[in-house]
Amino acid sequence: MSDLRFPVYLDYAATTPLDHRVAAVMREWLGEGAGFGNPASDHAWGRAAAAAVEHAREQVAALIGAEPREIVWTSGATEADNLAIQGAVRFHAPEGGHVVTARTEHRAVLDTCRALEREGFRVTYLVPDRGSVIPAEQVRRALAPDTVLVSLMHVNNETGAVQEIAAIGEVCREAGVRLHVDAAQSAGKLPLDVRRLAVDYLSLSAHKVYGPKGAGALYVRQRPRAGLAPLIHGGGHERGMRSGTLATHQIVGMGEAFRIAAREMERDRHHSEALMRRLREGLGRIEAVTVNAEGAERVPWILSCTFPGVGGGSLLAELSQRVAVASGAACSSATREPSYVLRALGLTDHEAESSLRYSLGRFSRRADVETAVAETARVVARLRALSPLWEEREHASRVQ
Amino acid sequence: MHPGYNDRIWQHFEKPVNVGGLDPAVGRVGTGYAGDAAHGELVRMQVRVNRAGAVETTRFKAQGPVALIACGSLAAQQLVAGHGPEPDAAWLGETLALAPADRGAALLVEDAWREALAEARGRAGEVCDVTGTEHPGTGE
Repeated sequence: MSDLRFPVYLDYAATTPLDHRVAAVMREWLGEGAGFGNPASDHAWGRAAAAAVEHAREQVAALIGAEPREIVWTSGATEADNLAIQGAVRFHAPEGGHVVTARTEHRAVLDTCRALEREGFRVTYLVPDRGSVIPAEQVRRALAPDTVLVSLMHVNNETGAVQEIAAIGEVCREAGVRLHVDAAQSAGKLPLDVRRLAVDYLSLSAHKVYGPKGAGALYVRQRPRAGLAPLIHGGGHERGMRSGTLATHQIVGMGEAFRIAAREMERDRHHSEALMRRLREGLGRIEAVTVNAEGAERVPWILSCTFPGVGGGSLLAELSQRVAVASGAACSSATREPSYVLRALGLTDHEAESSLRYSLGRFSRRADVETAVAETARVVARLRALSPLWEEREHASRVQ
Repeated sequence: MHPGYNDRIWQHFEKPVNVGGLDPAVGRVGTGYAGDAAHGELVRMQVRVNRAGAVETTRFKAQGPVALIACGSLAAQQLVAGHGPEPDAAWLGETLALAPADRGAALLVEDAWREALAEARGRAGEVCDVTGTEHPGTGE
């Protein structure tokens, strides 16, 4: 859809457009042709759909170095997070009931942990430093004799900070504790090889990588066996780990999206790096702007900035007329609370409210970045000219 | 136009009137603040009144949500109009059709201009209503 009334899109961390090549593959499995069979049916229609599903499973597994049978289809990363955390904790309940995670995790992880706490499980929420990274040593110190699971994300969706999951995996493996990693923001964008990482469960999303919404997967390690109790019971699909008729068209879309990502990851990365340099340089010219998680290793397609002297959502309200970015007000605009992720990094409510997240992707253009820089600078300057606090700050700096 | 706000709010937010400051040393100027600077939400209303206490000039500045800036602008416009109702929170809320969540912004703006007006009129030494109509002094 190219509608001139729509603003420039720089919100790829929220979702990405469907790649036209993915849409073409999905279309083959929609309509009245051979694609409508139930993959669980034992006849030609079913077998055709099942073959397509298994092909997609190979494509998804290949991207992360997994075996196809280690991939369980889900409705998305949120379900994968739920399945991993609840499924692991329930499966390993005889060994203990303690989970370690971080305050900067996605709500799909945090809310699942809260639900487990209400059932009597114990959860430790690690607080990262302002760089938004949890060092492996911090994880080690949080482990208790009854810890059964550590759940930490690979790339933070708000700041783009990259966790050291290799080192954290080693700590977990040594202690005999399973590790779940939410890789919704990194799979298909950063190299990920579960053969080299001590990761037991890995959540994957299709729509963050130019695939369809409503499709995701959970990697569940076979050797050593991670163990998983199902959440959804039914026909015993997905080897009993997730029942429900498979959505063939969604799954083939995810497979194709992951196949393309494996091939084009480097190109996508270079594309984002070039645009990010320009974005950082442009936004960096705005007085007093700060980059969140500045000290951490960050991916080159997410940038979270705080703009003093503006606030309360007015920056995003005006900017979003021309540029679609995300506010520092949580991942869901349904709540007007300041971002808990930015607050966990030590930002005040006010700083979190005057923060924006810019995220780039495969179809971002140089002109989009130029528009974002120019519009941000214009709106920040206009709102600062209205601000009595900024006036005082300017006055104080002149006096000094 | 903005999908999240009605035209009146958006117009005052996008093109606010009477933005700026008044020099407290020139004439009978009063200044009022409301909000919480530590939380980045603050409105400043300033008025200059004549000898009779009638509002001659208003200026405002605000940092915060869209509704705060819109209310500050509308109040600054109404105070200097010299006729019609005073821009209290109820009038601001009704005129801008504020959503319940935004009503707090109208209260802040009302607090700020009342403080500003009281200070300015204290300097004028007169007792008047907002439109500048003089009332007989109570002699106190």
